[in-house]
Amino acid sequence: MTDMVVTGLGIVVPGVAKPTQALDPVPAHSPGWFDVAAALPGRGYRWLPPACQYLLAAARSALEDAGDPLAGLPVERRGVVVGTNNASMALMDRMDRTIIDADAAELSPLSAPFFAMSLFASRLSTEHRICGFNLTVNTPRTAGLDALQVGARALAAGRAELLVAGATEEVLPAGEPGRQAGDVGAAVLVCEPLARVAERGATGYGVVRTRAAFLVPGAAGVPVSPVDVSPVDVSTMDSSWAEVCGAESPSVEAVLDDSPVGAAVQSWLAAQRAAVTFTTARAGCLTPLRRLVGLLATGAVDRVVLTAGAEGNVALTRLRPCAANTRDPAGS
Amino acid sequence: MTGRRVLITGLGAVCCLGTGVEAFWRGLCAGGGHAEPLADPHAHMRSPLMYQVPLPDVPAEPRRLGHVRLGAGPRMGVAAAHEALTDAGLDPQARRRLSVVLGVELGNADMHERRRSSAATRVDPRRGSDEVGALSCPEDGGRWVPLTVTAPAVAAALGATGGAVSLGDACAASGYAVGFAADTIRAGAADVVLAGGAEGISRVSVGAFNRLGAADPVRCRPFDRHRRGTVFGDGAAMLVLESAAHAASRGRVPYAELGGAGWSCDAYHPTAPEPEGRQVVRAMRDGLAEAGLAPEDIGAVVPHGTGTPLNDAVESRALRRVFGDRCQRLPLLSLKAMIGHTGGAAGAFGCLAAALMLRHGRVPASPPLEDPDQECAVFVPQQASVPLSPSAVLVNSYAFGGNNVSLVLAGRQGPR
Repeated sequence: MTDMVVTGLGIVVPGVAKPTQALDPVPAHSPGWFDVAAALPGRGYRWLPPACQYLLAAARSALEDAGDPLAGLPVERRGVVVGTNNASMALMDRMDRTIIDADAAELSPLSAPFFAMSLFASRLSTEHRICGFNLTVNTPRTAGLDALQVGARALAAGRAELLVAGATEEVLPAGEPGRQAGDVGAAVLVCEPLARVAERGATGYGVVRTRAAFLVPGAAGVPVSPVDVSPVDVSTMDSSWAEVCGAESPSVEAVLDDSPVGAAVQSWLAAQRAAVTFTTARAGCLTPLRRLVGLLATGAVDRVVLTAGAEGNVALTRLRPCAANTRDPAGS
Repeated sequence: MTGRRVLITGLGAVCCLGTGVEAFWRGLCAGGGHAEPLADPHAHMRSPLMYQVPLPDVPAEPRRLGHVRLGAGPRMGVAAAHEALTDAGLDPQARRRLSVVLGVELGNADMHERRRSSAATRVDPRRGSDEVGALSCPEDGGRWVPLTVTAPAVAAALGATGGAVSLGDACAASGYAVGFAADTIRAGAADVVLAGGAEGISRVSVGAFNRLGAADPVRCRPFDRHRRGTVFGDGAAMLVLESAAHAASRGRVPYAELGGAGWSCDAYHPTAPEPEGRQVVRAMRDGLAEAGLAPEDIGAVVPHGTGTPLNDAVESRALRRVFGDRCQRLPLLSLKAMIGHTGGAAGAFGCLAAALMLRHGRVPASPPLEDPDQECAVFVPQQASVPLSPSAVLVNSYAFGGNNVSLVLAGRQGPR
C-alpha cells in the first residue's frame, strides 16, 4: 500500500469547464459537445477515436496544472495508467457490423488498431514521451480507481517517479444496455511520491491511497434478483475499509448502482453510520474518478470515494490533505 | 517493498492443445496444434484462421456472473483458475483471501459479437445456439454489460474476496498481470495472488489483423522468412503466485521463482515497434537486474515472437543486444507457432511454458521453420527438445502501442 500526492488535475466531460465543477450534476450530452480543434490544436488528432481525444485533452490540462512535472524527468521514469470500460465499444460495434455486412477489407486502417483498448493510453504515452510503463485497466466500474492502485504500486516498486493516471469513456453504441446512462469524457490526475513533490517545490491537492476488494455477487450460476441483497457477503468490507482508513471515519462519496452488490454496499455503509453522499453509477468507470477530481479540486479531501460494480468489484480511495504544500483550491 | 521472494506454486491451462497443464505440456512436446478457419459464417475476411480450443474443451459453466451471460473466454478462465488453485493446494481460507489479477483484452467479446450476428440464420456451433442475442439475463435486461468481466467471473467462481483487477494491455496484458501480482506480493500486500489471462474468439480482432495485413493465411510462422503476420488462438493460462514464506509454511514445492520483471513503453507508434528496440532491450535488462541474474544465467527464452515481420526482426535484434553471440545457442520456444497468439493471455501462457520447462529441465522443439529468416539470428530448436541450462527462463510479452514486459523465471534453486 502506498500513498501518492496529486499535483495536477484535468477533466473533459460535458458541462464541466474545470475541475472545480466536476461535482456538478452531469447534463445530457449532445453531439459536438467536445471541440477537438480547440482542445487539441494541431495535426493528427481529428481522426482519433473520441475517448482518445478526451484523454489527451484532459492529460494536457492536468500536466499544465501540475506545473510541467515532466521537465527534467527522464522518459524512463514516467508512467501512465488509464482505466476504461467502453472506450472502443462503439468502434468495435461499427467494425463488427462492417465485417458481418461486408468484409474486413472495408475497415479503416487508421481506426482499426483501436479495437485494442490499450491504444488509448499508448497514444497518451507517445504524446508525452512516457516510456517507464503504459498500463490500461479495464475492471468493470472500478477501473478508474484501480488505475490509482496499480499506478501507486508501480511507483512504490520504483518503476517510475511520476504517474499520469486517469479514466476515459465514450458513449456506448446504439442498442447496448446502459447506453442512456453511460459515462462520457475523461479525467486525469498527475500523481507523484511525496519526496519528489517536495524536491521540485510543487504543491499538491491531496494524498490518495486506493484498495480493491471483491464481493461475490450471489452463488455462481444462480440468477440474482436486482432487489435481493441476501446472497452478497459484505463481511470483507471491514478489512478493506481498515486498510485505507484505519480507525478513521471520514465522509464517504459513494458511486453505486441498484444491483445486488450496489445495494449490499449501501446497506454496509448505513451500518457504519458514515456520512455518505450517493451518486448513481453510470455505465463505465469515469464517474468515481470525476467525483474524486471534484473533491480534490474543491479542497474536500478528508473523504473516501467508494464504488462497486454489479459484477462484484469494489474500490475505495482514501483522500487526505497534504501534510505540507497544500494546494489552494481556489487556484484550480 | 519488503523484498519477499515470489514463487509459482500452481498452474492451470486451456488451449488448442486441450484442457489442463498436462495436456499443454504433452502438446508442446508433440509439436503443438494447428490453425483452422473459424466456423463463424459472419467472419468475412481473407484469413479467418485461429488455433482453437476443441469444442469439448470449452467449459459449459459458469453461464453467468450476476446479470451477465458469460462466453467462452471467461468460462475457460474459470476452468484454468480452478485447476491452478487445486494444483497449489490452497485451503479454503487462503482461497477466500485470494487476490485475482488477470490480463484480459477482449474478455466477453464473443457474447457481444453473437448479439450482433443473431439475426442471421446460421449459428456458429462453437458459440452455442442457446439464448442467442441476449447479453444480460431477462430479469435484469437493462443493466450495462461490460466487456471485460473475466476477472470478476473468476473471483466469483473461486469465492475470492481479495480484489479482482483486470489489466487490458492488449497482447501484453497478462504479462503485466503477472508482474503486478508479483509486485503486490513483494510489497507485502498479499500472500497469494492468482494471475493469468483468458481470451475467447473475437471476430473483430481477427478482422482487424486482416485489415492491417498482419494475419498469416498459412499458419503462425515466427522467425520464418515467409511469415506474413500472426494467427490468433484462444484459451486461458493461470498461475498461483505465492510468497516464499507462505509456500514454505504449507510445505509446497514450487515450479519456479518469479525472479523479476522489466516494464517499458516505446512511446513510438500505434502498431509498429520502435525499430531499434531500445525499450524492449531495457525491459529485458531490467527484468534480469530485478532477478539478480546476468544474461549468461538464462537458459532459454520464450519470445513474444508473433510471426509479424517487423516484430520478430526487432525482437531478434534486441535479443542479440542483450545476449550477444550466445543467441546462436540460446534456445527459444516459439510458443505462438504451437498455440497461436492468445492475445491478452499470451504473457501468462509464456510464463506457464517457462515454469514447465523449468520443472522438466527441457526446452521442447518448436515446429520446423521452412526458411529461417537471416534477419532473425536466433536459435529455435526444431528437431528435438534440448536441455534447459542454466535453470532460468526469460519471457517476453509485447503489445500494440509499444507496451513491453519481460519476466524472469528461475528454477527451484532460486536466482539469488
